[in-house]
Amino acid sequence: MFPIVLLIAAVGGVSLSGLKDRTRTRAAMRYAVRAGLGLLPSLLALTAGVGLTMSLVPGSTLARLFQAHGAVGFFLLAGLGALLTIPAPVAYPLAGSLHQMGASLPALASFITTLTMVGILTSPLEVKAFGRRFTFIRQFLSLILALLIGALMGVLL
Amino acid sequence: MNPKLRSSLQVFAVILLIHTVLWFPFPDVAVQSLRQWAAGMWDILAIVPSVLVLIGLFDAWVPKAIVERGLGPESGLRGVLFALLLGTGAAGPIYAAFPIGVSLREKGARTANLVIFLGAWATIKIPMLMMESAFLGTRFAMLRLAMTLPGIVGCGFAMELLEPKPAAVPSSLVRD
Repeated sequence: MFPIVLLIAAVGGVSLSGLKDRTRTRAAMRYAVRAGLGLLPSLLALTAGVGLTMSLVPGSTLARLFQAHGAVGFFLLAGLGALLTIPAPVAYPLAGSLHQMGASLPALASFITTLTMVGILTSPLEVKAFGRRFTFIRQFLSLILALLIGALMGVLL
Repeated sequence: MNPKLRSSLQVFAVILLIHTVLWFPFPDVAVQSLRQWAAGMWDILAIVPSVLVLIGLFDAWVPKAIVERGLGPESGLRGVLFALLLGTGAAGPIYAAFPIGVSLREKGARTANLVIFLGAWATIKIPMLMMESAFLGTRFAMLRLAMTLPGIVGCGFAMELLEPKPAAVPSSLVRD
C-alpha cells in the first residue's frame, strides 16, 4: 500500500517537475542518486545484521530481552538513540525490525526521536556551529522531549 | 569507481563471507539469514528510492533564499510556522542543517525559530512520515507527529529563555 502510494507520488512529482523545469528536476534526481548511494552501505549492513540476529538468536529470547525489562529497554533504546545520529531512511527500517523483535512502540517512539534530534557523537559539529552552551541546552531539551513523547505514547497507544 | 559504490560492494562482500563461513557448520541458519536479509532489503527498496526522489524534489523547488528571510525577532507566529515549513522542506540529517542554521542566525533569526528549524529538519518531513507509517503503522506516525510538533515549538521558546543570545561563531569556521 504505502510503497505504491510513494511510487505514484514520486513518479507524478518527477513528471510534473520535468514539465516545468528540466534543470531543477535533474538536480533533484542527482540528489536522490547521491543520497541513495550514500545510504546503501549502512542499509546493506543493517538488514544483514538484523537477518543474522534474527536467525541466530531464537525469537523468544529477543522478545524477552525487550519485554521483561520494560523500563530498562525503554531507557536503553532512548540512550542508544541519543548517542547516535542515523539518517531517517535508515532509522525507520531499524525501528521496524526492532519492533518485529519485540521492542515496544513507546520505546521506539523515543528511540526515533533521540536518534534524529540528539546526537552525542555528532555534537562536535553542532558545537562548532552554535557553541557549547547552545548545543548542550538544545540536546538536553530534545532528550526530555523524546522521553516525554515515549511516555505519552505508552498512555495513548 | 564511486567511493560510495565501492564501500557498498565491500559491505556486500563481507556479508557474503560471513554467510559462507556460517554455512559450513550451520547451513540452515545461513540460508535463513540470507532470506531475512533479502526480505529486509526488498522492504527498503520498495520505499527508500521514492522517498529520496520526493526529498530531492522538495530541495530543488524550495529556494534557499526564501529559507533565509522571515525568521527575525519580530516574526512572531508567522516566523514559527515558517521555521517549521523550512525544516520539513529540506533534505538530509540534522548535521546538514547546521551550516544553514548559522547563516540564518547571522541574518538575524531569533533563537526560538532557529531551534524550531533544526528540530523540524531532524524529525518532521512529509515523505518520511509516509515511511514511518509503512514501517511502524499510521497511528504511530500520526501520534508521534502530533506530539513532536508542539514539543519542538516548546523547545524553541524554552531555549530562547535559557539562552537568548548564543555565542557568535564566525561562519568561516563552519563552512570548511
